[in-house]
Amino acid sequence: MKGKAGLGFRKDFAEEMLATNAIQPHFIEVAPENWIDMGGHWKRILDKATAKYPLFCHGLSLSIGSPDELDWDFLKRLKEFLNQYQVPIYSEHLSYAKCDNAHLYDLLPIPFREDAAAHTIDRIRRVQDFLGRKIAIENVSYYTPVAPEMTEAEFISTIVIESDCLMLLDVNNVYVNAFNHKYDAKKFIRSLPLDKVAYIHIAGHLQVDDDLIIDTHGEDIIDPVFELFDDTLPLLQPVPVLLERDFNIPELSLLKNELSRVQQICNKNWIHDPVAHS
Amino acid sequence: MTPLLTPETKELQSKLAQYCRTGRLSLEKEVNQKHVGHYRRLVYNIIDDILENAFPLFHGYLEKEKWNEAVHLFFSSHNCQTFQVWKVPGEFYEFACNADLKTKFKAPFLDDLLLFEWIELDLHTMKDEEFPNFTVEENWKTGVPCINPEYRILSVQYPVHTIPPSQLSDSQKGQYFILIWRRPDTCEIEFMDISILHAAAIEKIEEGKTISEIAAELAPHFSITDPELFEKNMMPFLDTLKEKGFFLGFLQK
Repeated sequence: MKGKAGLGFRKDFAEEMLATNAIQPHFIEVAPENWIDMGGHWKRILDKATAKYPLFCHGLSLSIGSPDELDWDFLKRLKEFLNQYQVPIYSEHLSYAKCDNAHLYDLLPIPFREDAAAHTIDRIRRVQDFLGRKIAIENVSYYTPVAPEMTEAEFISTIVIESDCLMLLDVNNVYVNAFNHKYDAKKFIRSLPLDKVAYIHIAGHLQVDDDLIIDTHGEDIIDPVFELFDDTLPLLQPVPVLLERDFNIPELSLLKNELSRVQQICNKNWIHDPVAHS
Repeated sequence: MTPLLTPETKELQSKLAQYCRTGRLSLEKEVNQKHVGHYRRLVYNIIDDILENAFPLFHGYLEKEKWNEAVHLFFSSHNCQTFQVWKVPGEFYEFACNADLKTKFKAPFLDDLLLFEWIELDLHTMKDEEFPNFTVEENWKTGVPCINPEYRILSVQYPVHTIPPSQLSDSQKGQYFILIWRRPDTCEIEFMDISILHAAAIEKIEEGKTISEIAAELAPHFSITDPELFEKNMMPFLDTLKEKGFFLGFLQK
């Protein structure tokens, strides 16, 4: 799947996608929490989809930066799911979604601090040991830092390098954060451990204020994000790239156009054989 | 082992999480005061959406202000335990019963309504059950009916499955049985109002008895003098349930 474009598989368009072939990504991605122990209609849809496409998983509930203990029951079921569907890449967010023994079902920013980094590194190592695989950690978008003592880039780099995990580089998140926190997106990307990048996400966002963008996955990808993506790819070895679209989903023909543009940029940067390129 | 996370960082994380749950912010210069509110909004909306989609009848019944109060009360005081957001409505149902929301919202039927709406959703998504070995080469007279295991029988005090919440009143209070199941062919959820006699018969079928045996056993309890008449009267009920996928066929001998 290196250099290939995939699509986040959403219930909103799952049946149409499978029935019509209106869009045919190289792979699909789901949040395992939304499908573990799912039966009935949606289990049949997932089985149909995975018979056709390789499945990647992008988690929501691991809560890798949480002060709470890791949820070993969840991890056990996750491991079974990943094995059942032979998932090549499992990624998660560098954030926390559970605290004080309560799930929040959203991604909260971990304070950029040495102790939080050490805590997260330890947890990633334990998760990787348990799952028997490396996980890919995603740079998340955030709307406020929380009493930081180091930069975001230092925080991410320390964790990825020290835990020996992989990195999921979300290009849109870099763009969003660079806008919200007023830094240079290209410089930021160049300061990350790019040799660890195993997967890329790209998506749309929504500017809600003159100084704030929310990472909605509910809009088309804007040109500056495509440009940042194009600028980034030559710095990396070919990896799979995922288009995320979770809300305000357009006609599949329009989504197909967006996916094609992602693939074209991958091809331009990563395929040097002119015959294959054509 | 010494914790790697300092109490100070842990407290920062806890305060942000508490803010998302309660709307009460106890962080000051540690966060961007202008933007931190988006976390509360985004987290709250996720819970609000999942509950609204799970409980359309309850949501439609309550005024918006009261609905918001219910969602806020739940999320701020209940520690959600499931890692799967689509199972949160089940926790909301438990919470509503324990917190006596039916009294708070002057809706004595509330526990029944929430249970009905939750079980519909739970059955729709529940993990596939293994079906027993069954055959269709039998008949009601001699075979033991094979029940589709993906079902529930709910015993409720209010007819929440047949009457809209706004029209429910104490005069309708009684004992009602709702049979809910997932069709094996379409995976759609079906439900049916059933009598106590039918509920008892299904319980007996689960014990592996034939309809004739059940008729003989139950008829005296329901003051039915002729078990054969009982059996005959059961036939349309059984046929309908077979057609709708509640009965798969007959257990293989």
